[in-house]
Order: sequence, then structure tokens, then C-alpha cells
Amino acid sequence: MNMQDNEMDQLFRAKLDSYEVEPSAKVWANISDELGGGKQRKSIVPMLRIAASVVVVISAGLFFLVKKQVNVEQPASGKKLAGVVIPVVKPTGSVQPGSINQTVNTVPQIQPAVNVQPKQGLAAVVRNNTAQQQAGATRPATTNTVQVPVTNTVQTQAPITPPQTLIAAIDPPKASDAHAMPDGPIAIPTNAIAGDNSKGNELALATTPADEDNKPTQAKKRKATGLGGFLNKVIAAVDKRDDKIIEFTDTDEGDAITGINLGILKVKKQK
Amino acid sequence: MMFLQPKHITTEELITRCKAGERKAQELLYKQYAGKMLAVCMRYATDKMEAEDMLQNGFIKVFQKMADYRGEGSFEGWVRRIMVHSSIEYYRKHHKMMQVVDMEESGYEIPVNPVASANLDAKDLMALIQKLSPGYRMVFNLYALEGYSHKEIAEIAGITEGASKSQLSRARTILKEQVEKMEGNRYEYAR
Repeated sequence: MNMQDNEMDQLFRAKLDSYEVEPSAKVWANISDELGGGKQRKSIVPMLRIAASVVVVISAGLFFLVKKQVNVEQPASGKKLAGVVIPVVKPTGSVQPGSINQTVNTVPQIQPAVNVQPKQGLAAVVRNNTAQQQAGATRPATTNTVQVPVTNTVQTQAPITPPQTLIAAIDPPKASDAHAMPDGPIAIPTNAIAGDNSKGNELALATTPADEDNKPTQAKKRKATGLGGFLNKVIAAVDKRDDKIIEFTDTDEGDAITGINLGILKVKKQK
Repeated sequence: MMFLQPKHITTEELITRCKAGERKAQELLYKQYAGKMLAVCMRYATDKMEAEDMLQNGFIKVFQKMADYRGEGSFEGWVRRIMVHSSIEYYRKHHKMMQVVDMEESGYEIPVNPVASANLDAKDLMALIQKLSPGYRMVFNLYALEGYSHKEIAEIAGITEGASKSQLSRARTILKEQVEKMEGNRYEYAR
């Protein structure tokens, strides 16, 4: 049986040409994946972006809801608050001069220590239980909220000033900055409120020339409109919906956020 | 194992729809040619699994290059060429380092089943080819079954023309031995 090369080639060709073998199902599945993989991956990216921004918004919202122990006191509007006493709560007694310096050292010019002129003056309310607490609390507050140059006047007058001068002249953005401070010592009732009064009449100052001793207790009860009320008004001017983008409510401990409305995401705390 | 194409769709229509990227059409086209093309790939492979890898790579190329098919020559021939190239590429990737070992040297013997060898069908021949060392297998396939010249094989496989010729010669010798053995068995069985 001496087979020629051609014969053998012919044999193989004839037999194998019509030969078919069914592939397993996974082959098409793999091909289909390979061909369609690109499209599927592309569609995931925008979804991830949306998910990421939702996470950011929710965590910001939760942060504000939790932060109600921080009191940022401030007049709701200028005229209304003239004469309102802003509380200085200090269980341990008088405010330490040293700590005042620390807090207020970024406050711009204050000419008279006690009677601060409405359009110029700035002041800070410092309420602290211990100097140590304050040190931690004020550091971020002053550096972040106030961008006005430091003047010496405040420091020199500090010993006189603290109990009776409470002024807040804050323009809205700064106020919200102050409120947004996410710093650690939330429980420490220390605030440094200051700002430039370039906004003029809108922002008011409150000074209490009289009756220094009574001030702390009075102030606490009368804190009907704090930063929250002020912000509510500002927001109401912009956001006409029933549920504002963010709503504040005064509580005993201070202002708290009781509602967030981001369109698709709505959180409202019933009081 | 025929993959019948639905009567209302012609191959031209299928090709047009595949060019548009229609997944359903791609699947129909795949089903129409997969069986035949797997048989082609198997000749270049050691086993079916390897052949399926070649088939998969080949079909992905078919769909990616579909726009290049201008309707000149048979579509099946075009697909088949892609499969052959895909198989060779696979071989070069996976078997380049393999030593060329003769079946005789490795002591290989085709297991002879008297009943099966009596028929000497495609399956048997496929088994013989798959047992060749990859280099012999590739050259024999390209020359004897696909009709490429030694010059073309040298280009495709990245070897010299002389190597192609000598490998073809060796492959034929081995195959002839095996086939005659099988036919001899058939003869004895028939008697």
C-alpha cells in the first residue's frame, strides 16, 4: 500500500472538508462578552459619578444634623437685633483676658471697647468653660471664619470688653462658613464671631452697655433668632419652595438643621 | 450538526446587519459557521479546548473586521482565512518554545480501534493530525489542506521555505505510516 503524497493529501482534504464539530456554548458567550464589554463598562461610569455625589451630599447632610450642639449665635437681622443681648454663658465666671485675646485676635478694629459702633465694630462672644477647651475650639474658628486683619486694639481692651460687648456683624457667607466648621470640639460652647461689616446696614451690632451681670442668663432665654433664623431668611429669599434647601430651627442647645431638600433627596425632622 | 440559517435571511443581509453591529445577526452568523470553523481550528490544535480558544479569537476578529469584507470572493473563504490566521497566531503564541518531537521519537502510537479504523473517517484523520507536533501539523495543514505555497507558509508561519518543505515531508511520512497501519488493520479486520 504505497500511498502517494497527493493521494494522501486528497484523502485528508476530502474527509475533513465537510467535517463539523459543534463548539460548546461558552464560546459564543465569550465572544458576545468581548464584543459588548466596552459598551457595558462605559455605562457604569456615569452611574458611579451619581452615586459618589449622592454619598457626598448625604454625608454632608448628616454632619449638619449631628452638629446641633455647636451654638453660633448671631443676629437674625440687623435692626431687629439691635439691643438684643447675646448670651455669654460662662459657668466659671468671667472670661479670661488671655483667652479673649486668643479668640479675638483676628477681629478688626474696635474703637470703643464697650460701646461698639454699629457699622464698624466687631466682636466676639467667647463662652468657655475652661481655657483648655477653648484653645482647641477657637483655633479653627478664628482662622477660618475671619479674614480681617488683626488689630491691637482688641487685645489691649480685652479685659474690659468680654462680658458686655457682643457684636456680630457677619455677612451671610461667612456665617455659613462659621457654621460649617466641622471641627472636633463640637460640645464646647465657644464661638468666635466676627466679620467685616462691609455689608453695612444689613448687619447689625448689638451692644449692651448696661447691666452686665444679668446678661448671661437673659441672653440664653432670648435667643429666639440665632444664626439659624438668619440663614432661614436668607435662604427663603432665594429658595421659594415650601421645603427649603436647608432649614434651621432654634433649640435649647442652639441652632439645628431640621430639613434638607435637594430635590430628589428630602430630609425633614419633625419638631 | 448543521447550523441552518433562517430561510428569510440571506447571507448578504446577515453580513449587512453584522456590519451594523447587530448582536442578534452576529449570533446567527456565528451559528452558521461555528461548526465548520471549529473543525478547521481543530486541525491546528492539540485538542478541542485549544481549538475553541482559536475559534473564539477568530470570530472576534471576523466581527471586528467585518467592514473590510467587500463581497469579493466567498464569505466562507474569508472567514476561514481569518480562522487559519487566528490559529497560527495562537500556535505561535503558545507553542513557539515547544520542541519539535516526532511521534516515533516520543514513542507515540495511535491507539487502534479495529472497528473505528475500518471506517477511517474524518474523526480518525483529525486525531492523526492533532497528534503531530505543532510545527508539522501547521505546515501540513497549510500546504495540503489550505493550498498555500511554501513561500506563503514561510511568511505566515515565520519560518524559512526550506523548513516548510522539510517539515511537510516529515509530517507526510508520519501520517502515511499511521494511515497505512489503520488501513492494514481494516484489512485484517475485514478478513
